[in-house]
Amino acid sequence: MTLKNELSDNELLRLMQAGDEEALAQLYRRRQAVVFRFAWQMSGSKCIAEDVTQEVFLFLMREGHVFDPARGSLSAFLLGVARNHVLRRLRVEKLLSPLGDDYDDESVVLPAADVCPLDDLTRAETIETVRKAVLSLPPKYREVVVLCELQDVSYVETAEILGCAIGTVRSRLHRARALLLTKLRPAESVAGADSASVKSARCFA
Amino acid sequence: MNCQRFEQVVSDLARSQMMEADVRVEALAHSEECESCLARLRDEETLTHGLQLLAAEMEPLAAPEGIELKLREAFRSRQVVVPITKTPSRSRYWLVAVAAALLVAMSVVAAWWRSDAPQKTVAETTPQKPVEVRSVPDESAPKSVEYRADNQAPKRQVPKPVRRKPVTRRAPETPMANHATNEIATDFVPLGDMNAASLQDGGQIVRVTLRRSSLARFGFPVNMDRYNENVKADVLIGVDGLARAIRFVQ
Repeated sequence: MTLKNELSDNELLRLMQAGDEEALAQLYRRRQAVVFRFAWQMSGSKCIAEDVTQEVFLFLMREGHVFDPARGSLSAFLLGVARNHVLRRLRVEKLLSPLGDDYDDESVVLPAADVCPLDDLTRAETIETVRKAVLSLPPKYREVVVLCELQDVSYVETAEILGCAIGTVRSRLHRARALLLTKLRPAESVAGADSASVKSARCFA
Repeated sequence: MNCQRFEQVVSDLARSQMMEADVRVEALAHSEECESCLARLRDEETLTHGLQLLAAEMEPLAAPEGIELKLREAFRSRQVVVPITKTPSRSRYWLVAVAAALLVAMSVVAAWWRSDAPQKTVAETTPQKPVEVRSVPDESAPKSVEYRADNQAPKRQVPKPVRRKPVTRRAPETPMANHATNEIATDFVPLGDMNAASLQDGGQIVRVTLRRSSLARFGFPVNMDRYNENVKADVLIGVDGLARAIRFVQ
């Protein structure tokens, strides 16, 4: 067991494919948390996260030979598989609510504050608010936020996981942060914007 | 630095990402001068803080232990299944081996059959009398060719092309008593009373050697300088054992 702790992911994978159950266990313990958290943060559902984690490692048992170390790390590979499973599950369960660029529905509104809108909130409230804001993002922006901001994955690995260019990752993250800021807009600003729109509507009417 | 350029780097600035030192200094200096950009930077920092809180909150989360147990069970069952899945592949190997053995056996039979094939070829005769060659003995022995005559329309019987052996392989061992080789032959000269009816039951051609002087008996010119030399001739023998015709071969 001690020796297996020192083995790399690729070596553990090779041993697992050769029939070593302990190698599978070691690999699972090493990488399950990342997969589980990613699935939970993407779906907002613990049940989906558990199912996806199990599916990811079952896939690794069945199709582990498709992993190519030259194309990226095993962690990135597992996250890529997890991403596909999460998106499939969300599609099936219709949990995805398509949000356009001009979405302003059910925005999570933070209490008004002059400088820092999060200062007046308790930590738990902040976390819950940010979590809901992340979950309300369109999937292509959500996955970038989850990977780069919450999982602290580098741009390069995120690009490998998503199968896109690094520049795309950067631009999506920039856009996602702008959307999050819009979601977390202070209540007074939102209320002011709403009243302004109402007034203008009345004027035009 | 202007506001547009600041907007491009504000996210990296708030997230403390690696960036050029000069750009960072310029961006911070611009945020001190521009209120809107300062507010923008504060918003980005607040967002980053909120995301960091969320990430830290979820950091200790892990999948339930039950999943590992299920995976282990699945792994063991998969290990059990593996030999079962290998069985068909073994049977496939056996099938391939049997097929290969059959192929080898067929090749041997074909080679053996082809070794006999050169003896079955066409014996060309005169245009009026088609001849079918049945067998060709060794050169040392008199060549015996079965002959069939047909009163009907002459029909040349050609063996199947696939059964013909390449001429280059067996040609030196089996010189044919007909025009399959480079021999030149005269027409058959009847010996006595010969008609189609007498050849109806077939016959044989036998290669013989005669004195060149015998050419004169059949009306062929004889070179007196080569008077004592031998010449080859094919004698057509009927089923009754009588010589029916003769032709000279060069």
